[in-house]
Amino acid sequence: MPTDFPKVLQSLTRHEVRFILIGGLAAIIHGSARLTFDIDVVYARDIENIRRLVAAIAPHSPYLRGAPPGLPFVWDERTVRAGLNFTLVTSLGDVDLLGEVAGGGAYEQLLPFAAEAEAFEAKFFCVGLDRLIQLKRAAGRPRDLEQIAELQALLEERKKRAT
Amino acid sequence: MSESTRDPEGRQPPDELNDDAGLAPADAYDPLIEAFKKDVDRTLLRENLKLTPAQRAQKFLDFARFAEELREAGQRARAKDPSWGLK
Repeated sequence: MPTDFPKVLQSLTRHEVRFILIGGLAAIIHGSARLTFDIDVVYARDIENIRRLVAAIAPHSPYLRGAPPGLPFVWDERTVRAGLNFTLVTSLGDVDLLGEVAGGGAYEQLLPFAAEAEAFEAKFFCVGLDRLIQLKRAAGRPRDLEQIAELQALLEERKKRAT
Repeated sequence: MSESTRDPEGRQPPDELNDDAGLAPADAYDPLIEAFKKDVDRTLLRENLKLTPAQRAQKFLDFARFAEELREAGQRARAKDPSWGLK
C-alpha cells in the first residue's frame, strides 16, 4: 500500500506534533525527481510532544514494520518514552518516527537547519537542503549514493540560479 | 589525495573541513559521488526548481498515484494471465 503522505502530515500537524521532515519526501520538497515510499520525521522527545505524537498515530493502527505478526506491541506514551526510533507500518502506510538521526542528532539540534514548509494543506518544518545532504552522507548507506549525487546537483543548480 | 581524485574546483573530500557536528560541508568533494552525479538528469531538477515546494509535493503525489495505478494494472493482468509479461 502506498503511503498517504498528505494524511500523515495532516494528522501530525492537526495534533500539533513538533517534528521535522527529513528523508526522501524532504528531498522532493527541495526539488528531487526521485520517488519515495515512506515518510521520515524527527520528533521532539519532550513528554507533551510524545503525548501528541501517540495521539496522532494511534488511530492508524501502528505496528513495527518487518516484525512478525502477533507481537505484544502497544503504541502508547510508555512505549515511545522507552524507545527512540520507530519504523512503523500504519493504515496510512510506512512512517519512520525518529527521536535522533545519525549526524543530525535530536529535534532541537536539527531545528536550526530546518525551514517552515507548506504542502498537502499542512505547515511543518522541513530540513534544509545542505543538512539533508549531510544527513544522507552521515547515514553511510551505499543505496544513498545516487540520492546524494542528485541532491548535490540540486544544490549546484540552486546556487547557479541565485547568481 | 591522488591527482586522479582531486576536485578541479578545489573542494575538499568529506572527511576534511568537518563542522562542529562532525559533518562535512554539503558540497564536499567525493569522487564516488561525482561519478554518480554524471548520470543525474539536471533537466528534471531545473523543471522542479521552477515550482514552489507545495507544487513539487503535489507533482510527486500525482506521479505516485499514477505509478500505483500502473502497478495495479499489472497485478490485474497477471491475475488474468499468469504468463503475462514473460513472453
